[in-house]
Amino acid sequence: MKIIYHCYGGSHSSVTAAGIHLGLLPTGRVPTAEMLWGLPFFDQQVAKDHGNIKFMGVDEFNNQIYVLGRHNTAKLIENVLPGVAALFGIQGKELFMVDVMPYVNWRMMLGGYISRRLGWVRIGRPIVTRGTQYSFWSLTTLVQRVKMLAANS
Amino acid sequence: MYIFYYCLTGVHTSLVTSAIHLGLLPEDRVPPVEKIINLPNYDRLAYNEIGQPCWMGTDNEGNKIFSIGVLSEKEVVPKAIQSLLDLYQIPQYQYRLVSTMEYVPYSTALGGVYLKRMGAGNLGRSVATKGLTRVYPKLVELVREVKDDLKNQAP
Repeated sequence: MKIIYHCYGGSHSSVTAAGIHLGLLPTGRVPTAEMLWGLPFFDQQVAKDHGNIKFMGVDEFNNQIYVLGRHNTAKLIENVLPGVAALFGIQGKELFMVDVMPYVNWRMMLGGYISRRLGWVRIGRPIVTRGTQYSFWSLTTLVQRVKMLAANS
Repeated sequence: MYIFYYCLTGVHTSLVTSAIHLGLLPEDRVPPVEKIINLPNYDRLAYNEIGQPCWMGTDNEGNKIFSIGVLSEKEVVPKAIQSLLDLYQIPQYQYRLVSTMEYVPYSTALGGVYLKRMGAGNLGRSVATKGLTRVYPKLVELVREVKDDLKNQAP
């Protein structure tokens, strides 16, 4: 099964959720800033990368984990990708889309905008990192739920 | 082969383009407004369904024609479709994404999306259709290009 975590830019919340899913981050405590910065693609993707599905790794149940930046098209992208995939014989079980955007707080939006859109990394990155740490527990809960749903299907 | 025409809503410009491709609308003249309005699924816009590929039919060469709405994300969504199909190793010759975004007339965007959102559905439909009759020759041209391209690719 392929699991795609998607958010606006595919560089903070979805990467963190994918990192938790793959066990790249500790589950018992909030990760430090350095741990987050060590994730592949964390605070890396810019506008021209949006729309490209990036491979993050393979989890313990042999699911491939991907991240996707898709702007403000949450419902649209969840219609179009499974819809097109179904035409080519890829059924519901093989593709699982997870919207991470509900767990994004204002710090992540502000820091992400400053760091990614404006390019002021030294100002934006600490803000978005603080925001990610703030949302860490809800992201962990989301990933637990996704793992359970993936195991059941 | 699958051919996906995409535009803002998936039920206006790209739907008319796929109808031209299938021969439901004439290529040599601009059809009357009623003929466009009576197309299947024309102007049936539901916000939570935008993006679902709308099946239009099979053309003479056996290509399956679909119409997709991508809202204003004309780069991100096609890129995402392309990269998803690459993940599943579906070869490029099995599908084609054709943009009709550059032909979406201002009045179709206004009538099809904004007037409808304001609750003026009937007015919106006639404004949108008016706009489409104006760009109709360009859409015919686009379909001709796509068909020529397919013919050259076939052998």
